Amino acid sequence: MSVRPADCATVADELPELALGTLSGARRAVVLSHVQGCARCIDEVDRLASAADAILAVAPDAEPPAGFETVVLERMGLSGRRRLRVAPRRRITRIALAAGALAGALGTGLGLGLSSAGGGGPAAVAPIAADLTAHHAILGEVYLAAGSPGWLFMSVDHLGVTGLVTCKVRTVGGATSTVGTFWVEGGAGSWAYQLPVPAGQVRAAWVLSGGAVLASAQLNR
Amino acid sequence: MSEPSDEALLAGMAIGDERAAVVFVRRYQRRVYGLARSIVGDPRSAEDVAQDALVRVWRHAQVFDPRRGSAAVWVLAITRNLAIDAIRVRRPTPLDPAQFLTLGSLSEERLPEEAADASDRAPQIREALRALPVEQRRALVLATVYGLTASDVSEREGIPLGTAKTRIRAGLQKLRRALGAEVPLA
Repeated sequence: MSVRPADCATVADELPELALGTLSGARRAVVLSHVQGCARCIDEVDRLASAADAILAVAPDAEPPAGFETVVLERMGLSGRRRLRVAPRRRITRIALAAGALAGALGTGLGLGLSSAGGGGPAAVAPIAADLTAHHAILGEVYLAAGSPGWLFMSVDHLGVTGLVTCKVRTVGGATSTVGTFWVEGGAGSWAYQLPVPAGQVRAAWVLSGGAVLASAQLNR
Repeated sequence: MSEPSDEALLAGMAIGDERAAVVFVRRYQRRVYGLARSIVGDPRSAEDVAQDALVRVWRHAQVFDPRRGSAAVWVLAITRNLAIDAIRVRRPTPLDPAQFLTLGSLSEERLPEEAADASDRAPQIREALRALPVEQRRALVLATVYGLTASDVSEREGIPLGTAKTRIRAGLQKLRRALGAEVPLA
């Protein structure tokens, strides 16, 4: 059945309902058939719809329950724990990926340091993790996987530099060792290195650039 | 340092900027939860709706078009639609519009952080709503905030269908005129 054409005056009173999406049935078809070809009425419907939505701007505020923000951020795949700094889930995932990639590349059980050991891989010792910080700001994370050899996984998000940086560790006896150098792009990157000393002996790790300490982490405390 | 605009935060969220998301959630959680609560009533359901709304904003930030309206209206429209879905599932009829009209919505209260929304036209909208006859205001809020059809409003308010339509239409047209014909709505 064809719809009889209407004019602006005929549909004017029904534009508000069309804008609200509550016009139904045959009248909707009649009004739509006119509006779709009438720039003036389309504009009016847009303005009415905008006016209807604008009412939401005066919605009452209310304090959400405790923990609301944390849950929302978790559901976003972020974390409330680090707030404005970094998302640990993403970073841990990145570290795990780095570990997995390295394990795959070397054909060893490097990932075992992240779970339980079996065969000839690193021993099943609880992993050690610590934040890399500078001036009380969390810039990254260090993860030690115990075993023979032990491994160090490092991830940074907000180091504030682009370029080559150096990772050093200090052992229980106070000796320092250079673990390796790596490239930081826009302050971010992830790496895995074989430790020159047993993981259990590492007390601190830090990242340097040009001799200046950019961030440090305390371990095995 | 000035606070980033809502639009800037949404642009950041569109490319996965976590900081932008955190700031946005902090800025909007009270408004989103407040709207959800005023529509669904039950705090637990409101919490679910508000969480869903903010997660949806994060996931769909890239489709936000500032030319079509403010970020605030976009976010609150998402919240309203989810809340309406929730009450349609859980309850045959929504709460009284007084929930929306009296729980601060027509007051002047706004938190300082909300002033970051430079396009905030809430005072003008409040004034326009206050100027409406109460029966038109109720009908308009039932239709726009709670998603009721004219038939639903008629049944709920105990008035003829034609009267319900007239109240909604007159209320919306007055609001639209009060908010201006030339200035884009917030």
